[in-house]
Amino acid sequence: MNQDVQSEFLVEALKLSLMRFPTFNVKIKKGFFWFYLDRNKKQPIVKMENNYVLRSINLRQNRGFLFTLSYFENRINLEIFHSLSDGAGGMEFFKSITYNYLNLLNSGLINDGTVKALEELDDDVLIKEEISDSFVFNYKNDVDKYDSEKTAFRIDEKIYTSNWSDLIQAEMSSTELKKIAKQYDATITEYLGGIIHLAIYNLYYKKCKSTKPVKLFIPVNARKFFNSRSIRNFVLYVRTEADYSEDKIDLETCINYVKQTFKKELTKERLEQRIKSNVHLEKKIALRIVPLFLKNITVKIGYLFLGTNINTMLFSNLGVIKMPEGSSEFIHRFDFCLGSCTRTPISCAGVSYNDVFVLSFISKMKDNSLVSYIFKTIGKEGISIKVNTNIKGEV
Amino acid sequence: MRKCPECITEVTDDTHKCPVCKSKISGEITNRFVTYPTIYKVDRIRLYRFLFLLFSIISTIVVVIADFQVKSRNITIPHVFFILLLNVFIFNSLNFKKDISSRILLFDIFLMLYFLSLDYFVLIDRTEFLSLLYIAPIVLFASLSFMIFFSLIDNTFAFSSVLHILILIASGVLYYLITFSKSFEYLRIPSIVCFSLSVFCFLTMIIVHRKIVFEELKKRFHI
Repeated sequence: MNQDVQSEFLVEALKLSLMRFPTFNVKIKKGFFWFYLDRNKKQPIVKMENNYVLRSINLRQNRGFLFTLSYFENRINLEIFHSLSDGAGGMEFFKSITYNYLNLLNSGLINDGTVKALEELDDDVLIKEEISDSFVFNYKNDVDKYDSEKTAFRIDEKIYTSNWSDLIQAEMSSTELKKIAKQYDATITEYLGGIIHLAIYNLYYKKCKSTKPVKLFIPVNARKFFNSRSIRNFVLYVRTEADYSEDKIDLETCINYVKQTFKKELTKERLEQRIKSNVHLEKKIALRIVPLFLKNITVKIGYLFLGTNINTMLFSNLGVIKMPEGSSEFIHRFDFCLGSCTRTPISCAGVSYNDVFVLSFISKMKDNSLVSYIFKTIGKEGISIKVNTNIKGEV
Repeated sequence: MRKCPECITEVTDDTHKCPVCKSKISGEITNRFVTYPTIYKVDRIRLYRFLFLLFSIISTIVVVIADFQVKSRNITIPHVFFILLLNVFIFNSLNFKKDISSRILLFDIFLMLYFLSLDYFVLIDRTEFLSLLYIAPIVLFASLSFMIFFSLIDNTFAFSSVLHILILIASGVLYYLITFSKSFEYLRIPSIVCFSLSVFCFLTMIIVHRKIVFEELKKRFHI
């Protein structure tokens, strides 16, 4: 924001947004067969930001809510548990909070349809669609399952043993970035994906001569492909794969890896296969009647062996954020971050608002040479970047 | 704007290290819009864990010495057992994501284990277990009253409490079935009164909140 945040208005704004987004006003409960979400009758809270970003949510301290809203000076942060929604759904909720907050401060903003309004609650059809599970709705039994995936190349670096993650953000002009990406006949996502592939190749892959492919996990907003208006989690993904078999590996080659994968994978048919892979187990009655504690054990073992082994790194581009006209007077920029874990120790996410593109890295690695390489590559293309971080020097 | 002398990155916040190459940077901060709060570590749980471990060890040693001093060695094992259980209970309560009823349930279990061990090690006549005949029904009734009281002052009806009470009642029924199958001699009037009151309270609670109970059961057992 361009001004310091006033917490008392922020709480009120959050309450208003929770009325509009009932799927966020929930707590998680344990059933006999499944976990389930139930309405949370408690009042939400906002708290001061801690620079330990993206830690697990303490449900007791957070009154059972599966998201945390915090602030520090002029910044508002929203961290969301993935079972509530994906990046796009979460951003809609966050936009609503920001809009309500600004309105409570008498900013005089008029909602031009870019933010989900409270009045829409009267539209039963819309609300029904928003709270529906689009995965189940778009599940087709007659499509093939997605092919099983091979283990991916893993970045082997020393990582922080505590729950600390480095957050490094670079601010740049989205127009400039778009212009450079166009020179390679690529979108911003394809261009940045290419840079990440090149950085992994030059810094890690070349040295250890692994036979495993580098796989970049890129979430895809499935709403566009299936005409869904759901606010709940409806994200699919593609994995761009590079085996670096070419003689000359440069940025163009790497961008081509991403472009080829996008061309092949971003079709409704392929995404339907992904949906089937995600949902088919849930549909089996024999598995549904297995008690929750057994499901938990199985899922944990499965995640341990398969979960993150098939990704080298995570990268997501949320796209352009639209807010009501005049918002830029109050809002400087939007940021978007993805969590990382010990097996996939670094993730990258980008978002653009009002010609400011912010690329954020969340890293558990002690060495930031990958981030440095990416920034230098972007810098070499003539894009000026400004960097900020949560590292204060003590870590 | 501050620039890193090594990698020429423009750094906008108040960090002392370049986020990219980690070399030292200095200079005046011009843009305060992207600063982060100063680090503070929140790792209280480790501290609690350490303190309780320390407390357990010290209290156990003190109890053992005290028992030996007053020459009541028979009681040492239940005492040590109780202190350890109490520590586990307190630690579990601090670590909790649990509600009041689950804590009461846990406390009941620990309390009964203590009295059982007391019976076993101290009583000479082991045919009459005081803990089971008198204390268990009283604990059951007291716990149930507590849970109902807390749900009343909280003005919410927590379904999880119902489950916990159900566990208590079921264990009570089981005990009575076992005792009844042996002999009527083991049944005592105070325990029968307490147990009957517990069952009555439980059923009343279910009947009063039957709508919520059925809805909750539907959700919990949804396949």
